[in-house]
Amino acid sequence: MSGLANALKTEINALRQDRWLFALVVWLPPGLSLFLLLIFSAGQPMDLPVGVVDLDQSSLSRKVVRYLQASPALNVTRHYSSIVEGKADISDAGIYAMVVIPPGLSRDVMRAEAPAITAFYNAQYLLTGKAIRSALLEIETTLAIELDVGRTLVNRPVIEAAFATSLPLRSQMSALYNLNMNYATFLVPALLAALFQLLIICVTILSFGRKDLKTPATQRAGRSFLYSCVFSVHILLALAFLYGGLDWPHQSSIAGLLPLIFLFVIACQLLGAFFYVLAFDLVRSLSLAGAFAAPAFAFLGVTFPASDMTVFAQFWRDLMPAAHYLDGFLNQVSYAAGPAHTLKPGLVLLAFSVLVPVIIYRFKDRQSSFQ
Amino acid sequence: MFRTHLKKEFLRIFKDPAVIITIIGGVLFYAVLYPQPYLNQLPLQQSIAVVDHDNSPASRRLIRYADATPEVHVAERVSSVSEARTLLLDGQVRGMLIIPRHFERDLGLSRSPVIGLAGDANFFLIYGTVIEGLAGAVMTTSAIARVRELMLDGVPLSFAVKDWSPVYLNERPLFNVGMGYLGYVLPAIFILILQQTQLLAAGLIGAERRVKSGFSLKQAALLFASRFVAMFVVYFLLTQFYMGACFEYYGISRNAAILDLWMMIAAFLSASIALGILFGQLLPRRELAAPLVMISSLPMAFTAGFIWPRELLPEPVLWISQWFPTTSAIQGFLKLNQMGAEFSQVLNHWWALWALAGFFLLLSLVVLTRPFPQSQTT
Repeated sequence: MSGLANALKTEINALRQDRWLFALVVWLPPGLSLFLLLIFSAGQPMDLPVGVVDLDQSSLSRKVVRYLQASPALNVTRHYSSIVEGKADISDAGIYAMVVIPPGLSRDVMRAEAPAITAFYNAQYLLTGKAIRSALLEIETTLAIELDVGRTLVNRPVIEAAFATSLPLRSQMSALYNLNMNYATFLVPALLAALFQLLIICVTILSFGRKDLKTPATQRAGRSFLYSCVFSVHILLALAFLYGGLDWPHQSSIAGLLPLIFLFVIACQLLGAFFYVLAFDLVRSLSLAGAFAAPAFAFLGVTFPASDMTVFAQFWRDLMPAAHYLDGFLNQVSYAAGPAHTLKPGLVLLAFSVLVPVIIYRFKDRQSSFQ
Repeated sequence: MFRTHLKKEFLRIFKDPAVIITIIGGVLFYAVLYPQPYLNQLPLQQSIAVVDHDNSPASRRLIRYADATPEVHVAERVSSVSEARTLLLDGQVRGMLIIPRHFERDLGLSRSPVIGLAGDANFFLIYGTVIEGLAGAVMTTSAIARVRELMLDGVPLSFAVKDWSPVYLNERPLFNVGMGYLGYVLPAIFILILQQTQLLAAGLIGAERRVKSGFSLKQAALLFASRFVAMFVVYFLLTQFYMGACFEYYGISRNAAILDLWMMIAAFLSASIALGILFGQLLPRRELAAPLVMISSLPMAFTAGFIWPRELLPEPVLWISQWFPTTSAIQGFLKLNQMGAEFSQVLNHWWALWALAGFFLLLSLVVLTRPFPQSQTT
């Protein structure tokens, strides 16, 4: 215990003397987490600017524009008299989509000639592109049913029957586990996992690199344990803020995640120590760690599914504690799955302890080569 | 005078293993590593479970339609929703299709039966794919029922086929036409990689020097200019490699005229390198360069506008993000190279980058010419 108290004392001293280490350990973790959270404060893509070319100028075409305006995802900001006019605004992302209402829309609908409304949308920004597309498809369905019910009512003057004829089949879509399709609740936990993995690995390397070989092993272990606690508390506080303070939907208690969080932090520390003993040089070890952990978010599989990645990418993903932590996290917080589903990611994180003998061996080896 | 300085700066880049590994190794390594998760471009053939409470020819037809879409693949047939949910939790399926009892009868009687479609919305891309495939199958079934209905009313088949919906949406995705992931992520993230490896290298070079201030203005300008030119030459070539060979290899569109592209590259590299030199002068120890640069990557990527629309960023986030060269650079490059904008349309980004370059240049000179402190703080 005296080793731990000793470590605590020296570490607090070190943090007080080194404002950069202090930043990395104390205020950058919550600061960066908050910044990432703020980015997605809108929750969903909303009021995306779109332009309209109304070549019909009928009451029906104006209704289409009203529907566009009424969609929460869209905001009609520009009106053009021709497609050419709107082209420049699409190229410089002044608008994300241009909806072209053809001349004679109203007439063609009356004649049952099934006219087409054309929508050009910017698919370079994939997420906005998809949001706009689904908003447009929704409007198409609404409009089609409305027009069709109007037509059918002539033959079958009962509104329910006309409605059912226009829409022989209805579907009810359920977005399981993220009911309101909120991008913050979807992205932020994964961003935090990637961020903390990086921070913990870096801080571990920095702390291992200090006073290198003179530090006895017990003190090194005590110091590492101290950081395990500090970062576990950071993560726990961040999650408590999100799921408690902001009341994000969750299926299990956040405190129950503590074992998983703790294992995640320790696995990251072991990786950090491993990178350190690979080179025994701060700059080179950090370069290795950076090459490994900087692009972690892409590999976590929240934006692009892990199951559809190449074999190599899946292998790379499996090496990341953050990926297993996130699996366990989603199982508990989102799916409320049984203990078996959280146990597996926990065991995988535990498996990172195979690095312990490697780290000890490398330290011994280096010490003996110095004597 | 300048030539000896320039030579020294080139040596700083090429003689220092940490720097050269960061620049050449980093840029090459990420060119291979970063695209890895996205090489398959689109998640297709997602497994779904079917709960068929009707077991009729009509319900089986709907299941066949679903299986026939490229988006989903019917992997399991189960008898209850709870069984389907277990499969979902185990990760064996990504979504489910639930067909109600009396589906066929209700369809025949025009009672609009409700089909249940569900997907795991923890993974938006998979969810979107699953729902798109299933909704397509429902739509097809619906259309066929509607055509049959119209024919019962005496509408000829050729009309009914055309007329089952009164109006259509003709949707045309632009620029990244296939909506693939590589074309979406790489053109933007490569800019970030260039900037971050450059910042890291400049940080390592700058932090190496013990003396960081107390220069005369002439000395400071000489140091800045020589370091700037050396970095610029190296990174201009690396940028050509990314935007030429790498884009070509990964099949990413290159619409910009070469001169326009070079003008944008010049502005981007100037801002990035000036920031790098400033960063190096402020950094007390080499080892801090990597952690600081790496943790800034996520905030930079997510505020650049290609993932999350900048219109939706809150004011403080917008304010902070304008200081990252990547913010203007990614927008400018995407518009020029991917979206076919004219150079006049990206002038705002171009000037923003020069303004940043000028600002970081001034700050660097201020830091370099500061009176020499009694003790260098660490």
